[in-house]
Amino acid sequence: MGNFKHLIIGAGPAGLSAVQAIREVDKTAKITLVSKEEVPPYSPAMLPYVLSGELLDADLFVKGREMLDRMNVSLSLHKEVAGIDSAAHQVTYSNGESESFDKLLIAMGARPLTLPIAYSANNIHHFRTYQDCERLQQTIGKTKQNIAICGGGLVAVEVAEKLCRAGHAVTLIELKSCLLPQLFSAKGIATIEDAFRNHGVTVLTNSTLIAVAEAGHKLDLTLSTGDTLRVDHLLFAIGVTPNLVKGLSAPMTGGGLIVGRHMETALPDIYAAGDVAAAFSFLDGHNAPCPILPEAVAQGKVAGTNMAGGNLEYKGWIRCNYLRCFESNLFSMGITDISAEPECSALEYTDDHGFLRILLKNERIIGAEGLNMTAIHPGVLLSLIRQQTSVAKQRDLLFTKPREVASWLMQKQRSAQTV
Amino acid sequence: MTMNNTLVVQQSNCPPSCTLCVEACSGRNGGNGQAVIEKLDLPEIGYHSLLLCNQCSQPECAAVCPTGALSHPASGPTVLDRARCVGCGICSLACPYGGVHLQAKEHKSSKCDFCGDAPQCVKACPNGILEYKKAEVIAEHLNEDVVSPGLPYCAGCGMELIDRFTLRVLGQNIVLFGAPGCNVLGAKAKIPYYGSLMTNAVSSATGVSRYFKHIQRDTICVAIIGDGATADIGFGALSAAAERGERILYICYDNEAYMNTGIQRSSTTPFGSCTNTTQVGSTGRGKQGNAKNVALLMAFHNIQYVATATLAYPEDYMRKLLKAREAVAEGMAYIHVLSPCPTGWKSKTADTVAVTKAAVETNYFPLWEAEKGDIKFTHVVQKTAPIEHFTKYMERFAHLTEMEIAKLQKHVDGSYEQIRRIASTR
Repeated sequence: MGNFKHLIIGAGPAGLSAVQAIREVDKTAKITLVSKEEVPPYSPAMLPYVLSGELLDADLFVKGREMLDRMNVSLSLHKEVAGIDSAAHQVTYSNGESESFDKLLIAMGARPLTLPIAYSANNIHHFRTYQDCERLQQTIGKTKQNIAICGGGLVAVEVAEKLCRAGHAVTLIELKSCLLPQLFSAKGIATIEDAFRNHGVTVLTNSTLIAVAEAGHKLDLTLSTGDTLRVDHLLFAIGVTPNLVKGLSAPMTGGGLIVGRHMETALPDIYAAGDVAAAFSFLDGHNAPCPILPEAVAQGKVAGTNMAGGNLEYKGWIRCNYLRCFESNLFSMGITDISAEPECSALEYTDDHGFLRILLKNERIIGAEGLNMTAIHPGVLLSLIRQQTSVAKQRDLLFTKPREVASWLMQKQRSAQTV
Repeated sequence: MTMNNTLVVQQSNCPPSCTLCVEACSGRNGGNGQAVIEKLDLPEIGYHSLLLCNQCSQPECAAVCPTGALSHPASGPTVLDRARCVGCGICSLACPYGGVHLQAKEHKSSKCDFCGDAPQCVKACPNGILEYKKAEVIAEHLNEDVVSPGLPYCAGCGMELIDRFTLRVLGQNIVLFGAPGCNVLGAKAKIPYYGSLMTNAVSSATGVSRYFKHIQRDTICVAIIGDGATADIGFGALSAAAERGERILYICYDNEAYMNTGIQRSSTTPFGSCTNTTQVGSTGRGKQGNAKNVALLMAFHNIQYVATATLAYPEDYMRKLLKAREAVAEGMAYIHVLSPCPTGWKSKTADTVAVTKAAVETNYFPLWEAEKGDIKFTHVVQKTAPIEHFTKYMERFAHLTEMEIAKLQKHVDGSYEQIRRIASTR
């Protein structure tokens, strides 16, 4: 097996997870990891913590470095894919080089979405790669700055919090009527918005940016509401879309490469995993990208196992998130919008600090959301969704003792599965 | 080899208001007052148990951790390096067991690390519900599998598993003795093998064992023989060898009938069992008498070491094999191993180990050992299951009426009580 070659494009969590899965089964095949960035493998989800200094630069790269050392993988940095010839099993790079493969994993992740506004300036930023983060840190510097963030999703909110804590004046500009739309319920989001306002962050909803003009070192922003804003820096965090694979004709949806249960694309010997892939949803089977870290790891593991000759099926993604924002923390998973699912009902448990909402359909949990519910283990709830455990008999008790009942149901299910 | 220790919760029957383990955990060094073990009290359902880290050998938490703060070393539990933890909480989304805890105040997660190698919760539990099980024992004592990879045994054969495990533990410095039956290992294992008759396996072993002693060779004579030759045909010679104190390690694999010749009853066939010589039909209701307790009879010979063992409790069986191997330096050792036969018992081939677990959990096959006749239980069942929990797996019992089941239950209880009365407490 020494001549068998696995080529993995992208050195994020999906790619690293695939490396680990391949090596679990095959210690001798050649594995090459290719990244268009100039730094060792890392997880983009950690960048807000690098921005705030909670995570040292060196620590960002430790896990990737350790894994590469242990697993005998050759890493090629600063190489961008220009084309993939699936029939010839060849990848061509933008520097003219090309490379053959026996199995290929496309794990190049996602890129930030942009607005169709003509701009280019030193103080206009994205926040997706290490380079973006470094640039932001360096240009902002140490003195208090006026920073506008266009967007209201998880990245926008996390970066806004970090910058606010660092003492900067932050304005959030969100297109929809609230921050974090579709991720949490109105009740949960209201707490976050209040927390921002209490810490001096300006939250503008139902607004978007329509023009940017340079004004010396500053920027003049024109919003859809007619308001104008003068800021030192502008950061776009309006979402991500899967990176495009140049010259690859394979079925796509939602911008991502469609993959089957084994993470295989329609092209033989070519797999996809992570933010770039459009795998199927656990809850309703439709294919779409699910750009969250746990699914990138899970998909990478399935892809790697199958590339190495194994037979592992992906179980489908369930969207889940955990957000810490100032003194609050919020998790959500599965379906959280009751209006989206007409046949479902919601259980709500409230205490002094927060609330827990569980959405049920046919007596099975299909979604959950918790504000300041650190005592509830979200992973236990997620496992009940995956196991499709019936809560019919304990509905009322689940409402009054959610921690205990969820844990008991999980344990009962587990012991029923073993002999 | 990966050594995984684990915390075992014996049964879910904690006292309802007890939280001693949780308090001990909060009080541990570096614990910051937040416990990583939780009590679950549901008096409404009658469920009182614990929520704790599953000590996964392939931990999801470590797989998703973006900074590598959670890591799973080759030996030992998955640990969380607080310095590298940023409190992103993704580990708590990934863990389905509730083993990872989000700190309420700090932006950190925490999890069980066995307090180094001495879990405080286990020390604090007064009811023996929490046990710290160390896995090194089995891993250290498993040698090469000397039995051939391809064998003509039935799918699901319990005896094959017993052969492989037994010989891996005992190692290759042995001579094996066998009798006609399913277990003729002659051309199937990389060790010297004597095939004798059903009457005289121990007699053959006696001669070789005495010769080895004479030439001061420490090779052990081991016999792995079925219940037919052990309990019936060869019992006289076995009893005599025990009385003489021969240095032989005798293992009986008990599949409760003469299976190799087509499922005929033996004296270890239990009450009610359908075999081809105790059939179920217009007059027959399966075997009418109870089984002979061969292990107990051997214990009464007061030989060096006697034990019962089975597949679902491999560490227990391993410990007994190691003890027996020591004992054989001085005298005779006998181990009686329950060995399911899916063909004869008419059970599913995948259920073989499950059946042995049920046998122990119903006290049908209690696990004990006896050194020179002093019997001690090596496993006490906390909550005994009714005998149907065992019989349900096998069609050889499918015909039993409620009254016949009750009769079998009475015998099982009586037989267990007989041992319990004479057993020493630890």
